[in-house]
Amino acid sequence: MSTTTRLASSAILDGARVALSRLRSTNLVLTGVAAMAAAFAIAIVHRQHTLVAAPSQTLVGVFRYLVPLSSFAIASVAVGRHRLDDSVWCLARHGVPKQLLAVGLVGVAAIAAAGCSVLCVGLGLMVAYAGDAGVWADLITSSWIAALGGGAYACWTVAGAAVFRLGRGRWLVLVADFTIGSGAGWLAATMPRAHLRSLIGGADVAGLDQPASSVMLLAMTLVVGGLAALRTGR
Amino acid sequence: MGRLDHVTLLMGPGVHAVMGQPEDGTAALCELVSGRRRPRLGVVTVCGRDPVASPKLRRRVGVLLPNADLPPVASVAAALELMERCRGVRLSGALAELGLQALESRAVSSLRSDEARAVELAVALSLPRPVVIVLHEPLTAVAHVDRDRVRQRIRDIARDGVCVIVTTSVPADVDGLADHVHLLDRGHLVDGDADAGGLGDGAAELTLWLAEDAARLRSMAAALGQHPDLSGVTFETNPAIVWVRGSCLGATSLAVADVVAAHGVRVTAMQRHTPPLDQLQAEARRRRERLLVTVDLAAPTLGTPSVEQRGPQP
Repeated sequence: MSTTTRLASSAILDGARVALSRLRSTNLVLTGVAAMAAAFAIAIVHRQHTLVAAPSQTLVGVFRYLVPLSSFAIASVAVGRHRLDDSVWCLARHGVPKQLLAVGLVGVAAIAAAGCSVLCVGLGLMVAYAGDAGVWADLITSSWIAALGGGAYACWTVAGAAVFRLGRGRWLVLVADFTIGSGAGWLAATMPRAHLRSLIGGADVAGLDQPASSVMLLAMTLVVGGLAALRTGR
Repeated sequence: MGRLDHVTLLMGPGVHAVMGQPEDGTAALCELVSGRRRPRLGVVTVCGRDPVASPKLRRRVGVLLPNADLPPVASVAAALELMERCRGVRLSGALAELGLQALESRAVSSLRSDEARAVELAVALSLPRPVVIVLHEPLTAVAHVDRDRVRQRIRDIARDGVCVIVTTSVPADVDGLADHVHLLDRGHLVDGDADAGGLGDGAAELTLWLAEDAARLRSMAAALGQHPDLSGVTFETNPAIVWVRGSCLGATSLAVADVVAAHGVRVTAMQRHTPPLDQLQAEARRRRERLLVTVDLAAPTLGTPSVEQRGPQP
């Protein structure tokens, strides 16, 4: 491994370590438990209402509210109450390129948000099915959708935190997802919400089929996360 | 945080004290030089390079900003280890140099703001081969450090040809520390690169503590009062203290030395009175206002006086 590659990977790992420390110190477990409790509550409510449609109704509720909000919370904790470039300044001041630190930070935020989303969806489905057959097939399919969605939301949140004072752009992204993402046009295709809706059986977005929406979510994660890192400068 | 407006500064080796409150732009200056912020307009370079765009350069810049920003790892020792790895230098003795070993085992999250600043100060002052060190209020809001040791360390670093920028709102901190003094007032550089000895020039005041009886004190005060270079003398017999005021520091000190030698009195301590920051800023503002319109009447060739407008930008 060349020296440049070694230094770059070390910088990315340092960025990841900063994000992990922040997540640990603000008790990620508590955030996860709160999100799962909410998923549990959504599933119970739907199961009491209707047995047949409970799993799909639960998925709609979890993907519509829990995945975006828990991913937003996790990514916000990873960035802290700063703009993204200030968030990595604690190590950038010692000569580590900000972009590489940001890549590590975005990566950890995306993985943590994806993990939390998978857990929420998993718990919600288990409760909604209540031991009925077919839970495992649905669980596997929904889990990777949740992972893609959580990652995309985390990257969008971090990208939002890269603009405006104290990274307040993240709130703009959240609002944009709830408003623009609820549509079905090309503009909605830029937000994770529209693709998640399509992937769990809702209306297509901009004429894209489900595999295309999956690819879009993955591409969104990589592109938006990359742009956020680039925005921090050297 | 404050901001800077129309400021041009060229700083070479030595200790540069920049006086002013953070809202006068001292904190902004630190952030610009350290590479944390890019100026909206204008350029900041360190050794010809932009500190924002050069991580390699930042490795050799020592920084103490208003708010401490230690890496969020478990302990101070782990933070130092991480900083060592990032900078590629050894920082193991950094805390010991300022007598801060006790902080090493503490958790970063348990540090008070002034303790975290002390750790950052120790790191900034222990960098090997720095190109510039920028310190915001290194003698205040820093816990557990011996101020004299910090001053000595800053002087030693500057003696090795490093540019050390010290921003402070306490003029007394500058005494005996700075080679160059700059005064910021509401974002403007009102007194650029003045000689450090000229701090508060025009209003030099000295306080002398004497080990003499009242009679000798009175006769000395009378002699000081008659000295042409001194404009005012006040004294108190118990304890024996004399306050003298002169036109400038040099002349006042010499006058006091003359009188003390002539009367053979024993001076136990002497202190220079440093005017408060707002007084210095007001004085600089007055000087600046006087320069606002300069009518040069010694320009007879054209027959009309030339008018040069200087001073603050509208």
